[in-house]
Amino acid sequence: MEIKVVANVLKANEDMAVVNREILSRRGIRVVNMISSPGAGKTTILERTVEALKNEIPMAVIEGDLMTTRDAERINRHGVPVVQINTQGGCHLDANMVNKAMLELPLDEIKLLIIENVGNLVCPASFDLGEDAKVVVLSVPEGDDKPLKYPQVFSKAGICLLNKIDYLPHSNFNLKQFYQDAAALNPEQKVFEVSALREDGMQNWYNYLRELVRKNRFGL
Amino acid sequence: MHETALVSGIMKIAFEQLENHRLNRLVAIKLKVGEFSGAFPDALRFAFEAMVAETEHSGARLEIEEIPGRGLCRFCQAEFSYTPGMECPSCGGLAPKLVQGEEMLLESIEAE
Repeated sequence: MEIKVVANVLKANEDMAVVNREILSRRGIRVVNMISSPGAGKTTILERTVEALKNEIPMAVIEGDLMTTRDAERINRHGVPVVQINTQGGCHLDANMVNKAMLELPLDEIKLLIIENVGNLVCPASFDLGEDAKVVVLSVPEGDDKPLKYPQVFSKAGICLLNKIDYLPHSNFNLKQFYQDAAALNPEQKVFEVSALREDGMQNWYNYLRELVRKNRFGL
Repeated sequence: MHETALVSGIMKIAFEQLENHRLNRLVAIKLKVGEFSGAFPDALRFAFEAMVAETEHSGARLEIEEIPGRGLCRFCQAEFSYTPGMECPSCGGLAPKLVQGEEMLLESIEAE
């Protein structure tokens, strides 16, 4: 016999994301989910961000990594709470992993949670973790064709950090093409051109995070 | 790339249904997979075959219906076949919304 089911296969994840969102928003914590390919500069951006904002915004970090604790160690040096999730080779974080990790954090003491997803532009796009915003990081050496090659993540990310912008003169990255394609996928997306290493353009990103947290505090 | 995780979710839903309906053997699972769901049908089939072979339902089939992407124009409301980065073929409007093609739905199961 045939049994009608009509169930969303990702429903278990989406239900857990709702739980996470509820736990975090009740405490007034804002959450961003950072997604990029390996080597785009997520951890360096995160180190700069933590250093710049930790005295102003109480924050914590969840680090997704396939195998190592290297990224968590890098963040740990900056003196903010960090929990490492090892996915044991898994290609994305899911809401359940984040749920377990966030319960190890001092949630009553923080206002901002930054989640660094596993380096991968494909799979993390499909898994809601309970975040307020997805942030996609693209670095100039990866090429301007990435938005159209990875449309899911670019159409879902409210923010794009275009990192390693100092490489622009040494590359064939076509900035105009990039903006055109990014806007064609997601006209509401904000793009910040940055070089995390040289600390160029990072103020716009910091201001975005300040605004995100501030809005929350006044319920606006 | 996360097809095994998806398949274990699919199998979990299917086995729950078997239990609820007091059926013993899973024959087939019907799945709808959107072109932009992030999952690759061949990889889903491959993972399913390998994983179901280790259960008492070895030999059960995974039937996949692929759902093409459909775009909706934000300006003139036209609907059309979607490719990433396209403009509306009717009015040239930018950034059509993807209204179909991201789904990953377990439609039904066949069981005895």
